[in-house]
This record gives sequence, C-alpha cells and structure tokens, in this order.
Amino acid sequence: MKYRIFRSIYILFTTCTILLNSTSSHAASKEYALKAAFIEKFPRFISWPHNNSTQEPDTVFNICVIGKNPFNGMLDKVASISTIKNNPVLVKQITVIDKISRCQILFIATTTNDRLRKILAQTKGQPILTISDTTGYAQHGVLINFYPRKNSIGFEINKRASEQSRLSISSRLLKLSRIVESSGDKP
Amino acid sequence: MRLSLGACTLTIFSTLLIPAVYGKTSANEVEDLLSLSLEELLNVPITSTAYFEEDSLHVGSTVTVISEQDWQHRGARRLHDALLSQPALTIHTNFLGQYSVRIRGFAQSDARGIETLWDGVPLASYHVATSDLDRPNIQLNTLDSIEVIRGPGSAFYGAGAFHGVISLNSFDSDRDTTQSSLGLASNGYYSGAVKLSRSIGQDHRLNLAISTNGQPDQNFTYDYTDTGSGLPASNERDYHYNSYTISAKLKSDPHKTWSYNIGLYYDLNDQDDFHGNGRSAPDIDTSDNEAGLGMGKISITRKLDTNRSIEFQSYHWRQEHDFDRFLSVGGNRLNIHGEETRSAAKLIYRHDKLFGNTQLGLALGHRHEKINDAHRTITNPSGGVIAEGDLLFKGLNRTITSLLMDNKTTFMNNDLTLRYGFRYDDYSDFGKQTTPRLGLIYALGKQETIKLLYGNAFRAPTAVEIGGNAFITGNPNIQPETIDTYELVYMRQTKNSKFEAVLFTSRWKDSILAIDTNNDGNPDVFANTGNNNSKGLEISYDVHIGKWAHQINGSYVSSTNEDTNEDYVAFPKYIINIGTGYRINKSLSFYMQNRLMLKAQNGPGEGNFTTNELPTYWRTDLNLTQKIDKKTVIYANIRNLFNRKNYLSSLVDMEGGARDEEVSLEAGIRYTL
Repeated sequence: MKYRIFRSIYILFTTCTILLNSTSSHAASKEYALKAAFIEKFPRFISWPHNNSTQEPDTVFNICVIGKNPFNGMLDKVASISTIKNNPVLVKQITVIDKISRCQILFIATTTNDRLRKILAQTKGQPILTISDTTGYAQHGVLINFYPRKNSIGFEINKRASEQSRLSISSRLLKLSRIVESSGDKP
Repeated sequence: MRLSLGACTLTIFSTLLIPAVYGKTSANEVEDLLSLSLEELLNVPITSTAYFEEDSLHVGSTVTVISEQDWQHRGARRLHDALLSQPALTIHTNFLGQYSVRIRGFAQSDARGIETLWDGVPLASYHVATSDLDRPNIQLNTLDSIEVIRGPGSAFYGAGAFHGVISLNSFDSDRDTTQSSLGLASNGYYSGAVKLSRSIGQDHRLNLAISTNGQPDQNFTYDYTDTGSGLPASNERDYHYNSYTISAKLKSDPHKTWSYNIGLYYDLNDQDDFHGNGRSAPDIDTSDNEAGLGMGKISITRKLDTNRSIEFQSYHWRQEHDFDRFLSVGGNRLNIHGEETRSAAKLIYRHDKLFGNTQLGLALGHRHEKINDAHRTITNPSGGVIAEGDLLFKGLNRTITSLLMDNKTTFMNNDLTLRYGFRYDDYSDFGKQTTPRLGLIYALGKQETIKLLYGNAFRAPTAVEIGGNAFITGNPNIQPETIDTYELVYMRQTKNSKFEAVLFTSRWKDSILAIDTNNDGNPDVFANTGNNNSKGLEISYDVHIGKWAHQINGSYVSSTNEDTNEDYVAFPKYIINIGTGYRINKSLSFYMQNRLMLKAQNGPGEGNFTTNELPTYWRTDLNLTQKIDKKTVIYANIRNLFNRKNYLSSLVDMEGGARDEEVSLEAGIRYTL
C-alpha cells in the first residue's frame, strides 16, 4: 500500500514537473484569431464612399483598436500577410478619441457607456466600420458586433448605423448576419 | 508491478508528447482562417458549457467538443462513430443493437450512469438508466456538435450523469440556409438528410432537420464453439437497421426582453438481427430492438437587465421500445414491451456580474417519471405463447425536486477562477441527496491554465434494479451509489495548437451490480456490491501546421473492483487516436484516422466466463473531400481501410469478443443553397 502511494506521487510529480517547466506563450486565443479573420473578410463586402482614402493608390488601410487590445498580435499578423482593397494594412492603437478619423475600421474594446457614447459620437456620419464584441454594443450604434453562438461566433449588424455611416454593406454579408436595431429605434 | 508499469508508461508518454507540443508553433492559425470563406468562419467551433459561455481553458470539467466537421472527417455514420476519437472512452456493441459507452474504465455488463442529453434534455431512462446510448441512433445529420464530459456531471446534469455525459446539440442556424446530403456505401448503407433554417418575420426563426439512414442485411459471419459437440462452428447475423430523426425548433430573437425556444423531436430506430446475450445461446445469438422517442421542449427567457435573466424550461418525452431476443433453451424468444414518460420543469436565474467578479446560476427544478408499461411475452419457435405477464416495475413512478447552484468567481485580475456549485435532490423514493462540485483554475499565462477539479455524483437505483427483470431479481432495499472524482488538468492553447493533460482518480462506492448469490455462475439479484476505483492519464494534442492538421490523443486507464481485487479487463489499458489531415489545394483535402486499443480482454469475465486478451485493435479510416463549387461538396469515406480483423470487448462475454466491421466505401454529396 505504501509503495502504491509513493508510485502515485511519483506519477503526479513527474507529469506536473514536465508540464510546468514549459515556457509560457502570450499568443492570441483561437477566438481572437477567428475574429481577426472576420475583420479581414468584412471589407470585401463593404463599400466605402468614393472620397475615402481606401480608393486612393499608395494609401494604407487602417485597422484601429481603441481600448485594451485583445488580439495579441493577431491583427498584426493579418496586416503582415493581407491587403485590403488593394492597400497594405496598418494596425493602430488609438488612445485619443480625436484620432479615429483616419481609421477605416475601428475595433472598440469593452469600455464604459460614457466612453462608448463619446466614441460613437466621433464616428457618427463618418465612413468608419465600427466593430466590437460586447453584448449590446450593436444596439448602442456599433456597426458590427460579434456574439457567441452555440460552439462558434456570429456577428450582428446595426443596419441603421451602417446607413448613417455612408458605408454600403452587401446583401451577402447582411444575409449571414443577425440584424439588430439601435436601442432608440425600438417602439 | 502493475502500477510501476503504469508509472513508466505515463512518464514516457508525457515525455514524448510534450516536446512535440512546444516544438511546432511556427505555423499560423490566422493564415489558415484567412483561407476560409465567411460562411466557413461562421462554423469554426469554440467551446460552450453549462450556464455560462466558456472557453476551453477555463471550463470547469474535462469536456471535448466534437464538431460536425470532425465527424465528417472521420467518416462517421452513426452516433457512436462520432465518439470513437476520444481518449479513455470506449464503445461496445451490446445486445439489442445498443452501443454501450464506457468512460475511464469500469467496463462491465450492466454499468449505468452515462447521461445522454438531447438539446439539454436528459434521456437516460428510469427503466434502466443505461449508459448504452439511450437513443442508439439519433442521426448525426441532425446535429451541430456533440460535447463529451468525462467524469461525473451529476452536480449539474443530475443522477444520470454518474460517469460522464454525452450532450447532443441539434441543428441551430442563425441565418437562412438549406442543406441537403446523400450518402451510399458499398455495404448497402444509405443516408439522406435535409436541414433548413428560415426567418419568420423579423424576430422569429425556424430550424428544421430531417434525416434517415440504415443498412440492409450484412450476412456477417461469427464464430463460436458449439455447446453440444464442443467443435468450432459459425453462423451469421444481419445487422440490419433503419432509423429516422426529426428536430423542429422555433425561436425568437434572444436580444429582446422576452425570448422563447420551442422544440419538437422524434426519433425511431428499428434494428434486426444484432448480436444477443453473448455465450448463453451462441448458435442463435441474435436480438432485435425497435425503439421510438417523441419529445416536446419549451423555454422562455426574460432579460431583467444587461446582466440578469430568468428562464423557464419545461419538457415532456415518451419512449417506447420492443426488445426481442432468443432465450438459451429450445429456441424460445423473449419479447419485452416498455413505455415510459418523463415531464420536467425548471426555473433558472442567471447573474453574469454579481459583485463584479461572480457569475451566478441558480435553478429550481421538478421532474416526474413513470414506467407506464413493462410487459413480457415468451413464445416458442412456432409462435405459441408460453408465458406472458407484466414485469414487477410496471407502474413505478418517481418525483425529484432539485435545487442547483453553479457559480464562477474570479480573483487576482482574473488569473484565478473558482468554480463551485452543488445540486440538492429530494427523491420521492430515496430521500435527500447533495452532490457538490468544486474547481480551481489558475491561469499560468494567457494561453495556459492548470485546474484542480473535484466532482461528486449520486445515482439512485433504476426501476429494474428495484423491481427486477425477466432474469434478475430486484432489490427494494438497494441503496444509491456514489462516486468521487479528482482531476488535475493542464491545458495550453496557442494560436495553432491545443494541448491537454488530465490526471484523474475516481472512487465508486456502493456500486449497484447484478451478483450471483446461488453460485450457478449467473447473476441473479441486484445489490450494492462495494467499492471500485479508477485512475489514469489522458493526453490530447491538436495542431495545425500550414496545410496539415494533426489530432492526437491517448489514455492509460486502470480500474479495479476493490472487493475482489480484480481489474475491469474489458476496458483497454491504452487507447491511442491519431488523426492527420492535409489540404491538397483549396478544394481537395484528405483525413486519415487511426484508432488503437491495447491490453483489453474479450469481455468482463462475469459469472462462469473466462476471458482472453484480445489482439491489438487497429483501425484506419480515410476521408477524401472535394469542394466542387461554393454550394457542392462530394466526399468518399473508406472505413477499416486495410480490412483488419478487429475485435472489441463484448460486455456480454461473447466468445472471442465482438467483431468490428469490415472494409466499406461510402460516397456522398452535400449541397447547400
């Protein structure tokens, strides 16, 4: 019996030692790899107005993140291997709200309601594709919001917000999405 | 000596696999994902469990999600095929054409306690609470995914979830789609399915899935020793079946203050000439089973605010079955007709942000189950009735009132997660029982966690164990059985790989088994038999490297009856699954799955039966998938590619074990509108 205990401890110790000695990595999770892939795909189904910089040659397509960046380099990987609208992609971290006007895509990390209102006030009427992954943000006016589905990720689109932003969203993208209304649109 | 060998094996297994995990991280999952279409991205799976959405790093149990794509890669035709890639899990063919799941050892003829859930509704019957898949052939084509929980789940799912849970998630789309599929195989197997999702108005959606499959007579030869002459002999079984499944669900927009889900489900499974009760009548060892299930389910959710909601769930199901098999003497046949109903209601309160760091789930439930009919008929070879009558458990009913709490609290800037909860059940026939659950999850980094999990489970006796069946006497004084399980889990998930190692130990107390009290070699009465234990290691590693995908897992399991000091020899000591996929180009890919099982005997060796070690089980399945255009996919599956003569342990002690299937080729098409 005594030997059985020793052997059990040996098994536990050996396995834990091997496992715990491994190095730690801070690469992004599968969830955010998936969201980054979605973000790269969305512009193929969205048209920006003609006077927007996406139409100009030798310009960059700016994907901005405001708030704590949850992608852990996944968006940078997208930028390094993809072009969007035939333009190279640049990922920018935004700390000051006033600086978002050069963004074609703005990912809004979870924030306070006050700050969200300020951000959306700044993007209102601008051809900026706002994206988030926080429950209720689409209803607040974010254009595309990721939501968890059973075992996968889905996205919802605030159609009215997209019309106000002068972005034209293809029917294919709309068909794949769940359409939501702004909180203020509800009767 | 046995443990010493186990310790060495664990060490070698861990040492070999760990460098593989950390040596291959150069490939990029983003690149792989970018090659997918928007539609395909929407179908990339992530994990969900219990009352809260959770990623696999922080889930408070050992759970694996098997996606539709996973089982399609492996050429799975029936429900049990989809589970064949799991470590520490075996599927045994059982009499009446049922497929018995055993998890982490304890492979004996009549072990209960693996719950099958269909969209969250428990199906394990009051009649037998069997760990045979309770509807043996709910069609894979009507499902989105399967979640497998290894270890006790009673604290969340109730008494049926004693050793583990098989949770089936039916087709549920958020966008308009029509999908159809058709498959035909060289052994006559056929399958056909239609799945449809349509929005109804702005806020409602219908999801419908209809599927059928089956196979004609297989004329599958089996060998046995003739009981009269003692000479080798052989006979045939047909393994003929036809199955149908329908799920129809109507739901409303879950973002609204009020939302609902209504579901109607139906499953019918007709199986003829599967194997019978093992060696008791080997020359006529066949059995038939026709079983049907109809179910209705409704849930209504009221959002109280952004963090709180209250949900009412209710379901009712009715199962009916006709079991038919030869008895050992004179070619007489036994038929058992049974009907059973269950109704349940539950009220769930969820709070996602209590005190800022706690997710709270509270549920109050009530369930009533009844054996409406249990009737036995014995007929002679010319069809004349020899004996007929109701079984003693006909009319038995039970009510269970439950209180359930499932909480998650985070500390240390979310690095430490405490999962805790309990289930309190008040049985009308067995009094009160509390089953606790506790888990400590520590994040070593953003992609690494270590978990220490404890789960307790309780199972009240079934109607058969109390009232007896045609062969085994019931025991009204029988007491519930319990199990305690401890798990140490290490998990690491990088951008292109996932590694998990689980060390577990379980102690199963007062196990309910059929025992032989008159020493004639055949079990004759149900009783609490004492204690058992199981321990082992499970390791799994999934990685994507460029165009390659590898899914490798393995387990070492040792389970013992402490009273007799005998091992549960029908469960293989070692299971190894190796899956390899390669994307040849954007439209063509292949996937090869190898499953090996080592060190298993041909049966549990109960009663007078002696057992022999089976040769190593090694089966190779191959899948080829060709995307013709955006809407059309064709595929070919070859099962048992090298036509190896594999044998599985037979829980009814069939001589030499149960022969696995021969090589067969299936070709099919999937079309999406």
